[in-house]
Amino acid sequence: MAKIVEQTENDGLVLRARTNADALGQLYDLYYEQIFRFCVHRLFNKEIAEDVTSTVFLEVARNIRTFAGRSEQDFRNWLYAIAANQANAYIRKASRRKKLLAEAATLMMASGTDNLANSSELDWPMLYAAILRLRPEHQTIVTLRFFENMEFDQIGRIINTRPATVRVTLHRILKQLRNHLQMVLNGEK
Amino acid sequence: MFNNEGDFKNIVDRLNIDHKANPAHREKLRRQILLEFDKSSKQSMPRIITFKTIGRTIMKSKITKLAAAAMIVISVFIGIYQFGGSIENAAFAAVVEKLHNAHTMTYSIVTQTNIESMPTVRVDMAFKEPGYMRITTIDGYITVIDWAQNKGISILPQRKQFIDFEASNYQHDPAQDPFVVIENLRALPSRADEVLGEKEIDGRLLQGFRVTEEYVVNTIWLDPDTGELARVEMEFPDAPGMSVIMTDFQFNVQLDDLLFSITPPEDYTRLEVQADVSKVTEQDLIEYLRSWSTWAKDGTFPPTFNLVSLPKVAMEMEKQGKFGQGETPAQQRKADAMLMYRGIMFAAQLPAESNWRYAGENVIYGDADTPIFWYRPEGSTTYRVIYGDLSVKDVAPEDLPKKN
Repeated sequence: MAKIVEQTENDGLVLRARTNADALGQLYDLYYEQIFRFCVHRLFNKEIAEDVTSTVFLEVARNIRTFAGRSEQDFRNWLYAIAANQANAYIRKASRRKKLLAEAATLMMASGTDNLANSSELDWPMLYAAILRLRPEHQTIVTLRFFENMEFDQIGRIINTRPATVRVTLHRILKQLRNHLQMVLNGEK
Repeated sequence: MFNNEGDFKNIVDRLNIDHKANPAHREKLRRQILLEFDKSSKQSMPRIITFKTIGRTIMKSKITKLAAAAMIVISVFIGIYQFGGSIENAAFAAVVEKLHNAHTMTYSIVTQTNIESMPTVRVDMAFKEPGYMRITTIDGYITVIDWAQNKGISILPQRKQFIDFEASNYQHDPAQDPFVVIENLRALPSRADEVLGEKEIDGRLLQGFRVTEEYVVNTIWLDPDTGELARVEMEFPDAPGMSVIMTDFQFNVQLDDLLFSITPPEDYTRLEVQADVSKVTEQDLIEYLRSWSTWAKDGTFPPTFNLVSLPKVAMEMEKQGKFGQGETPAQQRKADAMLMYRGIMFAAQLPAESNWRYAGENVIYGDADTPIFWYRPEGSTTYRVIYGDLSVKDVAPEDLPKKN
């Protein structure tokens, strides 16, 4: 599928970063905060987010020489795809899920958001637990859409699917979450 | 409970999430990734790309003597080997079939680098069924290969000399058929990852497509009226600054059989230089080692066989005046380039199971007691060991040199 790619002043930086450490350093400076924030939003634990962020950028450093993209947009998509994969890999470990749920509960208490969506029962740990039940790829879509505020076409480029598919998938994800939470609230789960 | 995206977004927005980064982690990770990046440069790259990188850098130094000749070698090898692809479907096969009805094809390849001392090299290619190929360089060298006879000839008009060679060990691969190769390029836009729109190039309005492949970024320009290939630009991420541009495609033009004759002109003399494309052998490696020791003023062998660091080492040696000076005739440069290429390729093509090792750094040619290179040929229980006098012995594994 052909696409028109937006050009940015950092396209040259991406090309130079394949062979030039300074250029790679500049790209790192540009994207560290974004990737760290994505990891926090995905994992809700700053220490774990730091670990995963480290893994992401080390993978970039190891592979940028053979990175085939030519634009900053290509690089950004590649970076987020790596971050999404690394976060998913972390979450797949069941024991880690428990830790993440505990973190979500802590977050709730710290931020006073124990009465989300004006529901007397629904709270953030419950919602987060429901999100963690989703397929990792679907969790990524939720994070990119609601926490990173990305458009469907941008999400599509990161997870390598069409924007329309992302839109439909998200619709199904929300339905799935709603059904699951309703059952939890009804005491059926 | 949420009913739609907006509701869900409201829930998320009410979370007060701390995502402030820790500057200490940020700085530490920065150092780590730059270290990792540096380490990755020391790891070996795929062979074909390595050769391109080597070629590009080597040509800048010693090797300036080898520059033009090596570029010709690269261009020719790119022309012969690089553009193959798979035939993906029956429709495409039909197009290829149709293309095969074209009896001749010509185009030009321009290879350039951003290295000041590296000349841009233009090579004109011509093909004629059944199996003739002619390569002409801008300075007049002509190479003709007759694949039906597996024979070829290089003609040097300025010196009235020629080199004839056998190409019998060349592995014929249908996917590398020049007509198939060109049709593969023409079909690339169907999987373009960028559409570049229309652009006037050399007075023609062309339609551009960018297609990224594993080791090459292709920019294909088609004639929007005919769909025919007009221009191909290739860039290689592992050899920044190097590009190959193919232009002037023509099909079914009249090409006289005489253009593809492998009979040397009557008043030309034969040059006794091997420049074939047959399988590289241990002897090629030995000749490369011998030649290097004559290039180096102190008679030593190459300091390294690391295909990535060799160009840097060679440039450093050149700066330090460690190579012999003096003009080298153009034809000798071409022979040197081929010899170097074949020697390097012998080592590069050895499989990991051969356990090949190079230990020739600081060893001077003639040192019969010092092993400089050893490897285990496929299926052999013993190793071939090359010594500093370039003699070779078969050695049992337990008797191998302990030097790393």
